[in-house]
Formats: sequence, C-alpha cells, structure tokens
Amino acid sequence: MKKILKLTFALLVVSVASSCTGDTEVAPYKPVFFSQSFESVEAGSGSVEIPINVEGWINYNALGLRNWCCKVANNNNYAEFSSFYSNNPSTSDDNDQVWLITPKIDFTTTTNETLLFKTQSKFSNGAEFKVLISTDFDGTTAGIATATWTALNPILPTVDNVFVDSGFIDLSDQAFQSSNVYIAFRYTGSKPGNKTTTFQLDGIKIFENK
Amino acid sequence: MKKLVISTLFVMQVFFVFAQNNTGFTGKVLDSKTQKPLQNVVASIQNTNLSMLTDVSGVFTFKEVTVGSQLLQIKSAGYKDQLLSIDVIAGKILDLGIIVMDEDITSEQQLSLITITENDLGDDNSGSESTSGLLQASRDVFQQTAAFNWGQARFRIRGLDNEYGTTMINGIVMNKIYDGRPQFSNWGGLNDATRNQEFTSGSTPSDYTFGGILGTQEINTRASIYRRGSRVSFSGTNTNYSWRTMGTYASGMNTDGWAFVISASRRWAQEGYFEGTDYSANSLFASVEKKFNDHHSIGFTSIFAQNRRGKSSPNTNEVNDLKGFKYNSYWGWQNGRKRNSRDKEVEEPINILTHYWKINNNTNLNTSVSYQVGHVGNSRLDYQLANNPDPTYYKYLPSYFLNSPDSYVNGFDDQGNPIVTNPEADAARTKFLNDGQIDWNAMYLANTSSVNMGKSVYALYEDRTDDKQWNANSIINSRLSDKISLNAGVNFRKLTSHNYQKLTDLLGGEYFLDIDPFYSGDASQSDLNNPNREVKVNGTYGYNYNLLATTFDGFTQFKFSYKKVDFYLAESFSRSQYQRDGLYKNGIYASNSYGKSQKMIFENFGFKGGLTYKVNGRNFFDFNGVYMTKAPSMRNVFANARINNNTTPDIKSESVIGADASYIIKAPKFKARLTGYYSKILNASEISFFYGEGLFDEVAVGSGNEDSFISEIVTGINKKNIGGEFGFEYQLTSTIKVSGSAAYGEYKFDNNPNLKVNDDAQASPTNTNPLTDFGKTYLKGYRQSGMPQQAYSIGLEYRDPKFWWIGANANYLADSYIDVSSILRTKNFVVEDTANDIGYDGGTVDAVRKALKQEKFDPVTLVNLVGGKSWKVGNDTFGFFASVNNVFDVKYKTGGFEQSRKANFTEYQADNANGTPSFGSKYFYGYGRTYFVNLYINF
Repeated sequence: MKKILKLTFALLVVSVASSCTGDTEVAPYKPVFFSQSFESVEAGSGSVEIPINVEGWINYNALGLRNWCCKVANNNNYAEFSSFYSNNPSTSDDNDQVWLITPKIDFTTTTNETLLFKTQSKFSNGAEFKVLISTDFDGTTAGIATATWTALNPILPTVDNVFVDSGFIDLSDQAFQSSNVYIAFRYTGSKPGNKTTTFQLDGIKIFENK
Repeated sequence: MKKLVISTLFVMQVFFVFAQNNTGFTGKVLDSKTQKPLQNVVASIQNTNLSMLTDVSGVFTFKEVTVGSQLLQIKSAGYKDQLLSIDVIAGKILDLGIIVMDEDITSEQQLSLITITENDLGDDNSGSESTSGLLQASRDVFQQTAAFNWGQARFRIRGLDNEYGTTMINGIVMNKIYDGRPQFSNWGGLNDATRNQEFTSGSTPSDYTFGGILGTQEINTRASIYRRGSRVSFSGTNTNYSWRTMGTYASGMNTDGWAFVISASRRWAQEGYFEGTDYSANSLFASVEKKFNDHHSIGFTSIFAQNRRGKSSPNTNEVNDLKGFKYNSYWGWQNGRKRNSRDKEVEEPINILTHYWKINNNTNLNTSVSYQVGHVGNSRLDYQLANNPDPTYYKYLPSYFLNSPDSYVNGFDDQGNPIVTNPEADAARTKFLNDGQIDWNAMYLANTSSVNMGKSVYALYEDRTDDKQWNANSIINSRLSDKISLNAGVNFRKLTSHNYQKLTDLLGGEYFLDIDPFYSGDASQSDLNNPNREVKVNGTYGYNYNLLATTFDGFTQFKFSYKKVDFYLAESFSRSQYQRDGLYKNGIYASNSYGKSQKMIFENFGFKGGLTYKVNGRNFFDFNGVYMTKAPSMRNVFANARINNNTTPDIKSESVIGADASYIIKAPKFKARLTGYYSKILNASEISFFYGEGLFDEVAVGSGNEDSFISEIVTGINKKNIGGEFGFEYQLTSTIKVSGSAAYGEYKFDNNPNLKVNDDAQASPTNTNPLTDFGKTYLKGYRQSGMPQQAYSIGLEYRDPKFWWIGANANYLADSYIDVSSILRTKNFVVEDTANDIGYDGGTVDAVRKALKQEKFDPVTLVNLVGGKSWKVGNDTFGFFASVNNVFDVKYKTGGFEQSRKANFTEYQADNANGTPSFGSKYFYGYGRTYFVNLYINF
C-alpha cells in the first residue's frame, strides 16, 4: 500500500515536471524570402544611365542594346526602362525587349509564395510591361527564348506618375513548386513604333502569405 | 493483515490512555559545551498535542503517554533539533537521562549568508532578486541548501519573486506597498537580534498571516524570549563588505518583569568584490518588554539600520571582454579616491509597540502598532546638453565604429598587401582600456567653465523615496478544543510616499536649471507653477509627487489536528487604495500632472487549505492548495508616475493559484522530503523605461520621431511555474552527516500578453495619455529569467565531539536564462509593411527565430567549504567560523537582460552584423572565490 502511494507520488512529480514543453512563437507576419529594392545598386540620375548589374540577376535586351537601369528620386532607388532613348542610327537599334530576371529561387521549402512589387508609368504611349515566371529556364541569356514563360497578372498603373502596388500575386500553384523558379520583368517597346512608355519597378518581394 | 494490526493498535492505545496515568518518560537537557541545564527548551511528542518546556533545572517529564514507539523532538532556538525514538512501557516513567544540545551551526552560516542576500536584494533590477533572505530560518534541508549553497547563484524557491512571500516583524508586514518586496536592508546586520524566526514554505499555514505562495517569515523581537547573555563578534570577508563587528546583549526577564535586548553592528568596505563598490552600514536595535502580570505584557522594539553602498554596473560582453567581469562603469577617480556615481542609501527606522495579551491558557491576542519613517536614495548623474558621462556610452566604445561602415579605411600592411582597418575603433579601444571610468574632473571643468556662467551642465542627484508609514495589526491565536485551533488577524497600513529628484552635488557649478532640454517651450518645464528654476544643492527638481496608499486586510484560519490527519482552511480579504498626488505641473502634461489622480481601489480575497496524512510517526503525505487574488503593486498602477496622473491601462488584480504535494520522512537518522508543485500567476503587469529605435510608423509620427524614450507597459502576463524539490539528510555515523538536495523546475511565460507604449513626445493638450498599442508580445514559452531552474547539491559534514566541525558541498546549477525584451517580441519587430504585415528583407522565420532565441547561461559547478570550532573558557564560549564559497573561483553569469533599443529586425541585424553589437545584452556576474571568517564570544 505504502509503496504504491510512494510510487504514484513519484510518478506524479515526474509527470508534472516534464509535461510542460513546447516552443516559443513568433509574432504572425509574412516572411520575405526574396527581395530587391535596388537601394544598394549604383544609380544614375537625369540622362545618366547605369545598367543594373546585380549578382545572379540577368539584365538582357533580346532586340536592342540598352538595358534596365537604376535611377534615384527622393532618396529612393528603382529600376527603369524606356525606349524613348533607344535612338541609335548606326545600328537601327530601335526595338527593345528587355528582360530583368531574378536569380534562381527555391520554392520547395516555402508555402503560399506570393509576389508583390510596385510599378510607376510615365509618358504612357503603349509600351508593354509584363511579369513572367518559369521553372525550366536554364539561367542563361541563350535559354530565355527556349524557356517556358507563364505570364502573371499583376495590377499595373492605369494612370501615370503614381507608384502602384501589384497586389498579392499568388504563386502557390503546384506548377511553380520547384527549386528552379525564375521571375522575369519584361519591357517591350519601340522608338520608331512610338511605344516608349517609361516603366519604373521597385519593392520586389516574394513572401510566404501566412 | 496490516489493517488489522493498525486497528488493534488503536483499540489498545485508547485502552491504555484511559488506564494509565504514570506512563511516560523524563529527561534533562544540557548545553553540550557549557554543561549547564537549559531552560525553556521545547520537548514535544510527534503527532500528538503533547509538548512542554523544560524547567530551571532543564528537566521535562511526560506522563499519560501512549504506550509503544514514540518520537520525541527537543528543540530550542540556536541549537540543533533532536529527534529521539522511545519505547514507552505501560506503568513506567522512563528516565532518558541527560540529553545534550549541540549549538546549531546554521546560525553561524546565517551570518555569512546575509552578505549575499543584501547585495542582491539591494539592486534595482528585479532580475537579481534572491529569496535567500526569507529562507534563513528554515530547518528544512532543501531550503537550507537553497539559502546557503544556491543563494550565491541567485536561486529562487519555485522560481518566485519575493513579492509572493510575506516577511513580518512582530506580525507587522515588511513587504513594501510600492513593489511588494521586503526591504531587507531595514534590519540588515542585526543577525543576532533577528534570529528568532518562524518560517513557513509555500502556502502552508502561518499563525500570523494568510501569506502568499512562496512562504512566510515572522521575525519575533519580543525581549523576554531572548536567551540571557552577551555576544560579540568580528568578521572579515571579501564579498560586498570587508569587515563587520556586532555586539548584542539580552537581559532575560528580571524579577520585576522587565526584559531588554540591545544590539549594534557596523559593516564597511572601501571596495567590495566588484570595483568601486564602497560599503558602509550601521545598525542599532533595542527591544524592551514589561510584563505586568500573567496576562499582559507590553513590548517596544526600535530598529535603526542605515546602509549606504556603491552599486556596480551590469555590462555587455564587449565591455567585460575588455575590462574583466569585476569592471564597474559607475565610478571614477576624484582626488585619489574612487567615487561611485550610483550609491544606494537606505535609512528607514521602524518603531513597533506590541501588546501581548494572554486572555487565558488557550487564547493569545497580540496587537502591534508601528511607525516607519525614512528614505531610500539612489544617486545618478544628470547632464544637460553635454557629453554623456557614462564611460560605456555606446558612442565611446569600439563597437560603435565597428558598426559604422564609414569608419573603415582601406590601406596596406607591412608587406604591401591591401587591408581594411578601423583606426577609430582602435582608438576607442585604447582609450577605453586605459581609462574607461567616469571622469569627475572633466565634469568639474565643464561646470566651472566661463562659457556656462555658473550653470552646472553636470550634476549629481538622488531619486528619493521618503516614506511615512503607519501599521496597526491584531492577531489572535486560540485553541478552541483539543483538536481545533483558530488564527485570525487584521492589518491596517497607511503610507505617504514622497518621490522626487533631489540635487545632491552641483560638481563645482552654482546652480542647475530645472528644464528638460530635449523639449522646447512649456513642454520643457518640469513645473509650470515655477518655471525655469535654478536648483541649488538639496533642491527638488525634475519630478515631485506623493503616492498615497491605504490598505486593509484580514484573515481567518482554522486548523484541525487528528490522529491520522491534520488539516486547515483559511480565507483572506484585502482592500488596497492607491492615489497619486502630483506636486509639479509638468509642461508635457499640464492638465493631468498636478494634484490628485483618481483613486484606484482593488478588493481581493483568497482561500486555501491543506492536509497532512500521517501514515505513521515517520511517514507523512502533505497537500496544500491556494487560490487568491492580489492587488497590483503600487508601482505598476501609475504607468508614468514621475510626470503624470495616468493609470496603467487594463490594470487588474493578479490571480494566484498554487498547489503542492509532498512525501516526508522523519526518522531519527534519516530525513527526507519530496515535493511536486504547480503555481500559476495570472494578469501580472510590468512597466519599464528605455530608449527605443524603430518604434513608430514614420507616417504616423513624422520623420525623425520613430525613435523615442518610452515607457513600455505589459499587462495580462501569465506565468506558470512547475517543478519538484527533493532534500534528504542522513546521519551516517554519530559524527558524519550526508545531505543532498535537488530542484527541477520549469518557469515559463504562459501566454502572449498585451504591450502598450507611452511616448511623452507624442503628448499634446488633446492627447494626455499618448499610448500606442503594439498588440501582443509573443512571450509564451519563454523562460522566466534571473534564477537557475535546475539545482543539485551534495554535502558532507563532520562534527567532532571536541567542538569542531567541517563541511563541504558541491553544487550544480543550470537552466538560467536571460530576461527577454518584450518589445522585440511584438509584431513591430518583424513587420516592415504594416499595411500588409509583410516582413523585412532577410527576415526569414529562421533568421527571426535566431535573433529572438532566448540566451541560456552556461551551467556552473560551485564547491563550498565551511568549518568552525568553539572553546569554553570559564563561563564564556569562544568560537570561530569560516567558509570559502566557490573554491575553484569559477566565473559565471547569474543573470542579464536584453536591451530593447534596436526594436525592429533590420536595425537589430545591422547592430549584430559584425558580432559586437552596440546594444548587446548586459550581464550580472556571481562572485568568484570568496571567504568569510567570523570570531565570536558568548558570555
């Protein structure tokens, strides 16, 4: 009898002492796992164009010579392109298809991947800005043409001179759950065709929407 | 079968009780050293109501005792308890002969203990509190180990703060209304005079109060209970003081019914264990009692304890790595002396008048009235539009330059290879290593500079609390029947606490201007009723207000004692009323700083009960449970008491739940206790003040106002403490005793409480309570800080019949954690885009978790040695006691806290990027090897 009591008590003490485990929580937020705000990229101002050259990123013009440049206004850096200055008589380099492609991003360790960025348009006259995603791109400029690119559907500016949020672009689709994800920001314009809208791009974030 | 035997025994016992009158035993008690008979020693038969005192010749005799095996306990203050196993034979009075009482060595240990507790308890930071002071009086092996062996590492019983215990002198509660904690310095150094103590642990019943969940300590200074004699002692140590001398005389009761006790002590050090910590304490004690007749006595006790000591700074790893763990940034050289800028002075004498009324043999009514008046002052440096005098100010340290990209310079080494250097960091390092102390002379120079025209830009002031407190209480103890006794008490307290900033030294200047230079216009005035005052020495400035409190509480308790079971039930009621009365009209809060605040009233109650099941005379089960609510301490009710009348938002009474279960063995050679406990504290609050960066939304407060000096208010904190305690003591031979103790606990935060921030800079005539809600702070699962949550001890003691003894013990303490910053655990830390709740760049869950991971301190093993010897010369006893703590001189952190300044992830990462953060955590260290030597004479 006494032994049983003692044993029960000992067990009670042990169970009470060991029942309390469990980890700490972090305040709920949407963690960013990929971002680019161009703040640490060298920026030109006015007519000075400094092409964006960031490790891992591809900045490539499939038709012409000029590339996405980094500009600064109000202490804020952003990416910019306009075909307006693509005016090179010696090469007839007047048409642009300029790709700004992220480094390879891994979506296999994350959930509810969501893209958010900001764009601003100026002097709108019909140039095109598209956001595309690929999981079979090989990371080379030669591979751009052969990769499968799926267009995304961001909110883009409908009026000029205001930065507009893209809205949450859901990338959680099973098709994108790859370790080989690339996102491309593509400008298509033409100086002779008079499609020279200026597009500015900033605040690119890919986060887990939880 | 067993049941049959037990019931047969019952029947037989009853039979013998009625049949035998001359069955029992007798004995004579002598002091082992003096061989003199000891009077007034308590002899009691365990698990019965039988107890008696020895007479003048030291003799006790029990008659009418139940036949069979009985346990006799003999005890007296200052001596070791004796437990004797006796076979009582029907019709015989056994003569046990002479029983010698050995002096209790723990009373010597208490003398060395106080050096630890006072230092810890005196600190402002609650992270360094220790419960050792409360435990000295305990006879329990585990609790003694906790006090004597683990106290130096800041062990706390059940992980609880002192505010959950009750400390009393003659029934007068000594816990402060302000923070709920006893100010041990109020009777520090009076070890001899405060030795008569009764201790209860957990929620077990005390005869004097309902108590909390940590335990109660009642110090009894009634003059007639002191053993007649004198004692003088002299001690040396290298802890917080160097020398101590103490003298005590007790008269004993004379034939006219008078008894008195006087005691005095002085403790001092030019420099204690840590650099620049001077110490000076003087204590006086007097107690007189007049016995008018068998029913009425009046006692008067006066305690005057004065304590002044230099504090030592908690330091970051960067500072400790450069200057060593004894480094203290608070002092500087002045005229060849080390002058500490942060002194703490406590001087709060108390007078207690007590009426002892023995109404009849079964009932006592004791009534006390006390008045305590005095001050606590904490000195600090103030400065206006001048360089920060703190040598560890972040801009003076190498880390500031290491964290500044502009400070790096490209160059070439001797071989012509390109290298990057940081000459500013190197210069700061050299300067800090060579100097690194407060520069008093520079401050005098600045103050006397003709540019300032007599105006001090530096001054020394004290944060003063001048309390006046009346206490009155009445406690009745009555034996209602053989089985039932009643305790009840009422307690009334009235406090006027004057809080203000007192200028103590102009450091060469002629006046100090009473404005806050960080504000302009009216907002810069601390008192609009007297703007732009030029403050002289002893002048009041900055803030000035009274806190008024009136509290009433009462309790009743019934205890029942039966053959197999003892149990008790108790209930309490309390009412606390707090009010702030502003004496200054502060410029930031012109409409709500001057005059009286609303009255805050908290009504609370408590219930508790428990039972002891006596398996037999040596084995017991004990269970206790309590539910009570508790008024918030006054300091948490007024969130910004220094400058306005605002009360803390959502402030509520705490709920406290406690339960424990124990198995106890009391055999003559073996004593042990195993306890499991559970306690929960709900709705606690915490207020802290600091400078935070990245706190506010730039859009909301305007660019440049994101950083501010704020108060952080956390309410609705739940804490859960569960664990087990084990202690045993085994008398291996008549001279060798083995003892061991173990504590395992898990003390955690149990929810995610609410956090609000008060920012004076956002106050305006239309916003007189500038709070920003930061939502929840995610504290759940974090460990409570400031104490090891695991502790183990094993000890051996040899006691030679020739009055010398020696002991050694080894202790292992682990699971001690840093005090986490609440604001870093809010959403503010992780969210950059507040509209979309999106985190910062790089703020992945892993990175955030890594940044917010609670630091756990390394476990520590401490070995202690104690020993002593005493001699009898004529009628006098000479004694010697020595101890060496932390024999292997192990350096260890006892606690620390995270700084809250870098309040968002990006700023935090930037500060931690190169491994030497400017705002890294600050740490407290334990003593290395220390000794304590005491010589004494009893005559």
